Amino acid sequence: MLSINDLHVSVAGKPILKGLTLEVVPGEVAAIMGPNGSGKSTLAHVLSGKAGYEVTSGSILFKGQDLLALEAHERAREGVFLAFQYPVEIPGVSNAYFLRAAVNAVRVHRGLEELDAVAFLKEMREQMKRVKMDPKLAKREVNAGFSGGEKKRNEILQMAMLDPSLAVLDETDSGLDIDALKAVSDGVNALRGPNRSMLVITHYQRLLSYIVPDKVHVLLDGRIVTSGGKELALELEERGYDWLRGDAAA
Amino acid sequence: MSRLTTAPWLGALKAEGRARFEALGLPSTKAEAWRYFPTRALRGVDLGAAGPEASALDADHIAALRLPGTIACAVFVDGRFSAERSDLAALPAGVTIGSLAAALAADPERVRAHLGAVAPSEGAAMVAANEAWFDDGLWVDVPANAAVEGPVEVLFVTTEAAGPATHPRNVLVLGRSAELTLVFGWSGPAGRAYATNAVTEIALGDNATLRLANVEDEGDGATHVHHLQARQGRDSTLKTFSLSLGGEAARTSVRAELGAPGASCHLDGLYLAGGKQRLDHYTEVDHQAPHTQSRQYYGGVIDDRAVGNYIGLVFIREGASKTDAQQLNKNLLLAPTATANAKPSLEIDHDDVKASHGTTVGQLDEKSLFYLLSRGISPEDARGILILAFAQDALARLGEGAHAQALVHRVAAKLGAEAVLEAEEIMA
Ligand SMILES: Nc1ncnc2c1ncn2[C@@H]1O[C@H](COP(=O)(O)OP(=O)(O)OP(=O)(O)O)[C@@H](O)[C@H]1O
Ligand SMILES: [Mg+2]
Repeated sequence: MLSINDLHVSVAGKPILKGLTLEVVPGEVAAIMGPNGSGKSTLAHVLSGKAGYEVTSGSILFKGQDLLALEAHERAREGVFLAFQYPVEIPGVSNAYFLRAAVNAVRVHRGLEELDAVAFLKEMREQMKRVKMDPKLAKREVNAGFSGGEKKRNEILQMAMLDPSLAVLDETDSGLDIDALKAVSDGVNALRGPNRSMLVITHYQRLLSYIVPDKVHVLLDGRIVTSGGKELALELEERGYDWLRGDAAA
Repeated sequence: MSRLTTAPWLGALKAEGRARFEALGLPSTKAEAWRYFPTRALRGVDLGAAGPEASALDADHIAALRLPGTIACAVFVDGRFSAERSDLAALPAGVTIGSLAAALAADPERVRAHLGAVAPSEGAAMVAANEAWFDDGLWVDVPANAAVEGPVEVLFVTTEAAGPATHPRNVLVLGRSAELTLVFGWSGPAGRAYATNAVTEIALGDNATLRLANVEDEGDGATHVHHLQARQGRDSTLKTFSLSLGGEAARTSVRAELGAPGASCHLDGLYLAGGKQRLDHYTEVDHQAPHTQSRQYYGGVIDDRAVGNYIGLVFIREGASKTDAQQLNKNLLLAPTATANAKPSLEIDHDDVKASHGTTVGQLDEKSLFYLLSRGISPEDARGILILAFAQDALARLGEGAHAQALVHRVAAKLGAEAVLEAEEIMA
């Protein structure tokens, strides 16, 4: 599904990712953990094609194709989805309109028919129920004035509607209360399947008891320094990251 | 040259306008109010040259210009009223909307009381030129307590046959508690240099309401100057929306005199400037009485090498206590070569008032763009969505009705975002 090989990325001339190698197989849910500033969001942004990140060397293959050769909107249509750490507010644009435009852009690319307004709204309402999202938010402006929990639910709603093959969840759990965390996790778990992989970026083991990962990778100073099973998350929670720093320097 | 009545008072007024224009000359960019506007395009133009006696215009041409949802339409061709092309049958009895020249012939004393009274030509060169050389214009007389239901459209069309300049003079008189909605539409041929120099005088009686959407969509070689000036009675309301789309250089200025307690005005607008266009908006709100309120919102979308300008002056005179004034001007630059000039200013001679102003000049928000792209939306649509959202902040002030909706569509089409708008409407 995703193979990242020796990836080096700079932002504003400053190296952030320094030889990151990572393999994600179809159906796999991989957690990425790491201290603040280690490069987790940078990785998420590079995967989704955000401007301002300079790939100085290395490669990313997504379903066998060169992901870095695609523009951001093309990656989304090919099936890459990023749930933002900080979802963007877009005043003046309704959530329902925005999501239908996105869904239809993706559907047309995949050779499917566009959804008309009625079919779209039916689907949207169903998916909103799943993430326990207030139906009124459909008519509101995209994320504008949404609470933190509402924004994160909106991200998962978009993910469900866009049906990606690789979902990158950047700290989707941060700042959520337990009810919102459960709703979001249930939404994510419902989307697990043999053809969909997920990269779950988080600081907290708590999330991983709801979304149980197949693998846990530790990102430190721009590289994956160790990988393991779900028990690695518990160990990190107890011991922190300092014990791994020696490896990073090596 | 003029077919106007030759009443001595009118001759004197026009002679005075001419003398004043000759003394003042064309406005220069040294004057604060005109600092961004290129009147040099008017240099060498014979502003007083006679226009054609009568210009022909196809009915189809008018039909294509007309907005839906309007109940009547007055048409001016090359500055003169065309009874043939107008359609005023639906106006209620007692309400007069039509030709100023005709009104001057029929009831000169009634017109005399207002003409030149609201917008005097003293110190105002372009108003003086209009006074000197107008042949005709819109005359509106709505008696007390009369309400015209539904908007009335007024089309000012310049044709290939027009002289170098036309000077429509519009005089609008609304009696006590009268109510009217007007839509002005300015248009002309493409690829031709011509000038429009219009003046609109508005006398609002106590508790009267006038809504005026002014749509400037002149030909691409046009220089368009339009000054609107209103004198407002007690508790009266003026709402203007200045939409600027066309012309090589176009300037719409509005002066509202809030001369009695409770009077309020909303001066709003949107300008879409592209190519090398220069679109200018100038406003003056004069709070002369207590408890008066003003609101302004002008939005600019500026692309290519175009320049969009907003200069707004708010005066709060001594004694105008409890005045409440707000001014906002927001600009979206779509190219690094585009320019916005924004100059709001406040002059306050009284305490105990509320006044605020703000301006922004920015580009499309990169974070918002990326958010849309990351969901599979194309770069063109992503831009269209954000530009339209910006424009709609201003357009929301156009009010309700099919005519307003049609104008929103015209703006979306000009922004290349009509498909976006249609899809948004389906989901609304
Ligand atoms: N636009 C930028 N300009 C300069 N430095 C940047 C920029 N964006 C990110 N960085 C730096 O890159 C490093 C990695 O940032 P990143 O956001 O990827 O970290 P993170 O692991 O997601 O952290 P957190 O856990 O706090 O979300 C940080 O040191 C950050 O300051
Ligand atoms: Mg981060």
